[in-house]
Parts: sequence; C-alpha cells; structure tokens
Amino acid sequence: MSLHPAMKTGRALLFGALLACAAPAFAGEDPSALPSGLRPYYDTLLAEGEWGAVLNLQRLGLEAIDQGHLDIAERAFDAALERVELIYANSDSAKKARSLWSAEGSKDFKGEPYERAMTYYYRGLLFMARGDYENARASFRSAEYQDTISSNETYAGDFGMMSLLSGWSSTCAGDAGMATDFYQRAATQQPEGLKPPVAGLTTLVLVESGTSPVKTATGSYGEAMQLKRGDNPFVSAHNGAQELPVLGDIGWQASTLGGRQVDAILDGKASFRKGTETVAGIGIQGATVAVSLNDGGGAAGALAVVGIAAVLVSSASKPKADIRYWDNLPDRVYGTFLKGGAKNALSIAEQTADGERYPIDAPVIDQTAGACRLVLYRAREPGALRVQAVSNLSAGERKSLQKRNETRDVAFRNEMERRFMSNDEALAGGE
Amino acid sequence: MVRNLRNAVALALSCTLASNIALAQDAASADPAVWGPYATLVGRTFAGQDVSGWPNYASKSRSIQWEEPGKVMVETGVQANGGEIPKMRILPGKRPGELLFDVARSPNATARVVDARTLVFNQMLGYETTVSLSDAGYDMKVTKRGEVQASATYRDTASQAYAAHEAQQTEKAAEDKVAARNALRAAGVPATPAAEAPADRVFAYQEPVRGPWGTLQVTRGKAWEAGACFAAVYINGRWAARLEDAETAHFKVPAGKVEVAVASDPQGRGTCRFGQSTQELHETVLAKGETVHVYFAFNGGAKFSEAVQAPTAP
Repeated sequence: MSLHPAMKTGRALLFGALLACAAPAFAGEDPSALPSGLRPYYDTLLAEGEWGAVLNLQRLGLEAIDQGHLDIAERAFDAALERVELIYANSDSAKKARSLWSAEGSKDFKGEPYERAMTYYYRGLLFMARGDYENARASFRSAEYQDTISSNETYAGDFGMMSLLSGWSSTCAGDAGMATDFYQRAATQQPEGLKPPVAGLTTLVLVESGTSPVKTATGSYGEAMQLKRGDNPFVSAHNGAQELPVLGDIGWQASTLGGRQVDAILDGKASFRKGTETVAGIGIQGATVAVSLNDGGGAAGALAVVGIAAVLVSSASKPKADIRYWDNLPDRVYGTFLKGGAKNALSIAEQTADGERYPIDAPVIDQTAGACRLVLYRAREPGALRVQAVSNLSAGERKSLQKRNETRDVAFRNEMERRFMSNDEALAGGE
Repeated sequence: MVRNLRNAVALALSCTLASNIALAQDAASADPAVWGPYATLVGRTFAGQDVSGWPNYASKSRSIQWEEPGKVMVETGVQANGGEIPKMRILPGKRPGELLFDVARSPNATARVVDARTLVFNQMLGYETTVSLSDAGYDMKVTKRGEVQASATYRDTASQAYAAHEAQQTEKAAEDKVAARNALRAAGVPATPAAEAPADRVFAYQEPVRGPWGTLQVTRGKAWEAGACFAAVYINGRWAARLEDAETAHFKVPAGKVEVAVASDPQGRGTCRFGQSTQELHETVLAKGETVHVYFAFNGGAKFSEAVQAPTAP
C-alpha cells in the first residue's frame, strides 16, 4: 500500500465518527439501499465483474459525487484503489505482480496512469471533505506516483496539481514544513509551475471543466491505443471577476508521460505478426488490382482467398487494445484559494472563446472540516452518464469472457454487495 | 562586482569574436568560384514549393551544412511525401568548376559551376537540372531539350519572405476550406431513406451539452463496398456509433470545429476488424443551435457530403 499507514485504522474510526457527527453530505443515507440514481451504474458493476471493476467503480464513485452521495463515492473509490494497488502500488510485491500481470496479458481494467492518478485525487478530496488531511495528503502523493508508472516503465512526475494539493493538505493539517516542500515541488511542475496559497487563506475552490480524454484503437487490427484530449468548449473559469488558474490539465496528462507526447500504446507480439501481415497485405492489394483490371475473376478469386485467409490469421492473433476509458472525468481543473469564515457566496462560471459565460449554480462538495473548507464544482448533469462504458469487445467476446470469469465474479458480487449494501462498517470501509 | 562585470564583458567579446570567426570561416571557405551558389546556401535550411510541372517535385525541406568546413558539404531533407531524401555529400570535383554529389544508395552526380549564382547538373537521360539563387533562397528546374519539365522554389526558413509566404498559405488554406465546405453544403446530401440506428449502437454525444452546441446527424449511405461490416463513426476522436448501411444517428455536439471520422469496426472480427488505423476524416463546422447532416458512403473509400438543416434552438 502506498497510502499513509493511518489510512487503514482511520477508516474504521472515521466511520464511527461519521455516525456521531456526520456532515450533511455524508449522512441521511440508508446504507442498506443504494440511491435509485446510482442503481444502474451499480448493476453494471455487478454484471461486468472483475473485468470492468476498476472502471465501473471509478464511474460510480464520481457519479455518486455528482449526485451528492459522498459516502458511496468513498466506498467505490476505496474498492477501485484496492484493485489498482495490487498491481501499481509503490512496493516490491506490487512490482512483481505488475510484471506477472503484464506478461499474462490480463484483460481486467486498471486504467492508464492519468486515470489511476485521478482515482487517488477524488479519494483525496473525499478525505479532505472529512477533515482527514493526513490521508488526503497520502492520496495526492499516491496520485502523483501513479502518474509516473505504466506497465513496464517509470517516468518523471509532472502532475503539479497533486503536489499543490499535498501541500494544501499539509497546511490544513498544520504541518507548515511539509507544506512548503510540496509547494516548492508544485512550483516546478506542470502546468507552468503552480503558485502556493498565501498565508491566511483557508478555502480551496476547485472547478472541473470539459469532458474526459478519449481512447481510440489504432493499428491495422486495432491492436494499439491512442489517447486524445476530450471536448471542452470553454477556455477559462471565473469566480466573479477573478479568472481562475488551471491547476490540472487532464487532457495533457493523458497524452503525455513524463512530459513527453505519447503517440500510441502498443501491447503486441510484433515479430510473429509482421510476417503474417506482409503476406496478408500483398494478397489483398493483389486482389484489388486484379479485380479493378477485370481479368475475368479467376486470378482475383485465388488471390482474395489467400489474402483474406492471411488477414484472418493475423487478426485473430492480435489482441485488441483496451479502449475503455473513464468518461466522466473532466478535461481541466481550475482552482484558487480564498479566505474562509462565513460561507461566502461564490459566483462560478465557465467562459467560451467568444466571452459567453455559463454559470455553475452549486458545488457538488462544500464541506468545512477542521481548519479548511473544500468547495468542488463539477458541471456534469447528474444521471446523464451512460450506464455502461464503451468497449470494443463484441457481444460474443464479452459472453465468453463472462463465462471464463464466472467463478471469481461470484466472489466479486458478494464483495460488492457487502460494500455497498451492508451496514457493517468494517466491510463498508473495505477492511 | 567589478571583477564579475569584467568577466561578463570578456565573455561577450569572446562570443562576438567567435561568431565573427565562424561567419568569416563560412565566407572564406565557401569560395563561389569553387562552390557556385552553394557558397551562399551553406548553413541554411529551405522549404520547397512546386512552381510548375511534376507534382511533388519540390522537397518539403532541404538543409545544406558543412560536414567538414571548407571541404565537404552535406545536403539532407524531407520529400513531399514525408520520406527522407537520400543524403548527399557535396565536394569539389576532379576538374576546376565542377562539384561532385556523392548520393547515398544512388548513382553519383556531377554539376558545373556556371557562376556564383548558377549550377547546372550534367544531363541524365536527357534531363538537365539547374540550381540558381533567388532573392528568398534558390530555384530548381529540370529541362529536356530546352523545355522546362518541372520547377520549384526554395525559401530560406529563417527569412521574412518565408514567414510571409507561410502566413499567406495559412490564410488561403482557411479560405479554401470554407469555400469547399460551402460548395459541399450547396450540393447537399442524397435523399435516400435511412433508419435510425438502435440506441445500443450509439455510444456518445447523447448527453446534454454544457455550453454552445448544435445537432450533428450522421448517415451511412448504402453502397456495395464494405456493406457486410459495421462502420465506426468517430466524432472529435470519440467513438460515437456503429452504423450499418442506410442508418443514421443524431448527436449533441459542442459548437465549433467538428471532426467526423469513419473507420472499420473496433468490435468487428476477422476482416471487419482490418484497417482501424486508417480513419477517413471529414471536417465541418457546427454553429450554435444549428443542425448539420453529414452523409458518407463507401465507394473506393468513404465519400462525404453534408447539408445544413433548419436551425434549432438548443
């Protein structure tokens, strides 16, 4: 586990504290029943099993934040992170598991570095909302770490927002020395170095804008994957007259590793396929030429058979790139630090290049805990998220996958039922 | 403090001196009598443009540098198709006024220095190439029996002429794009019936859009080619639908530039899966509240047409 050691014991204690003096957003839920607005996403989670668990938990968690169910969001992100950490924690055992996992070509979704980083980011915000700043800091530090590792390689950390938030968590926890270290680190990272808050500010305002990065299949057989920035018709975000700085550029984070632009991510066995592909290519080209020359069909027929057969062999041997992606993430995160005190009204709006402003009426999180207040604005309409993430598995492939995973998915469903439907605090907290 | 200042001045002087020496060396070692126009071209990079004759005769770029100052130059560059041009080492020939072009993986060539501005290559299969200096860089032409077969101009990429040309090209490209789109819209889309694609094959842009938006209708026309496979429709890079022949789908898309691409089906199997790297792209613009209908059909590749439908209030 790369999280702070206090996290484990903290979870159990937190749940008890929650029952006693919970903030409104965390209270008022009947833990034995899932809100109807989240039920379709939960059903998808159960249906897809371990194969889609991390992605479905990420989507469910963020949708729960959008719908105002922060306790369910916590459970979802905890369950997602447990699965991520088995493979991507900063430990020797995870490193070993990672190399086995890559070698076996596991199809279970674990996400790209930016997706794993954002899972820790939301978990960190939820800790902040509860006033657990030490675990919040541990989460943001893990977020930065996740952005530096892919299956086989490590890259330089460049997610400045995570360092800034680690610093802010330290400030809120009263650890000025550690805060300074993180602020210094954030000042040297993307995007263009982030400024630390001045002394005396106690409110963090975050505004998430635009839509998630996109994954597409590429390569002759869809064996490689490309990442692109998502749509964002807005060029800035404002609090009244104040333009907010960009703290995190998720589109940029998705398309770069260690600050370098990624072209495509390929997980294939190139030596075998190259030979097959060449034969296939020639066959199909030859057939096209023969057909266009109208040579009577004999030669064309023979060539087409050779070409198509070779393509089928080649395509069957190429694993499809996994193009599932976390689709309720934003494109950018803006933010600022403000004075605290009374629940001062904020006037948040996004602005297009034409200067047209679109206000965001209410935050999805507005919690004061301990020394600090967290206000998070997201502009997605609750409940509008597609129930199932888009995948390139055909119906047949999906069916055979489900059959293969049948046994372990029974255990998975039981675990999810306990997490989301049970009153048992230990299970709900994932211990 | 005084010592630091003195050091800084000394450093500045030495840098100036060094750069002057380098310039002097370039000028001194590149004798126009030996190198002809290459004495002026060395140390510079040029962008090419076709003027007449063969398409893609001009290279995209060419760079001429010293390999060994005063003795050997090297010319490299990128062809119009993106491939590298064979690396050429340029050195004085056996006879005075002659330059030898030692070309990697190709026969060598010899050229005659006419004067400081002009170089003529020896004829090859009756074709003769001439290089001559111009105000912005240099020109190249190929003649056969005195008739120009192809000509190109090369502009120094560090020159104002190049910057002005680039700005003009960008503006013209934008104007051409608008004109092409207007012409396409004037022609409209074929009036063929198409069924609405089922919801389970429409993956994106169904949610409400925050900010200015319009409606994009995408229709796949009926065609014999590739009719057995679904076509993947991408909008702004996002996989938005799988369409059969004669199917249509509607999307809520942020206003502005919109990229519609079609490719083979990521869920396809066997030959239906082949060719996902070759997305065929169509660019359009969607104004706030507008409905644009993009129609495509496979006929030797995807052929796009489009029409603006009555504006709707989003």
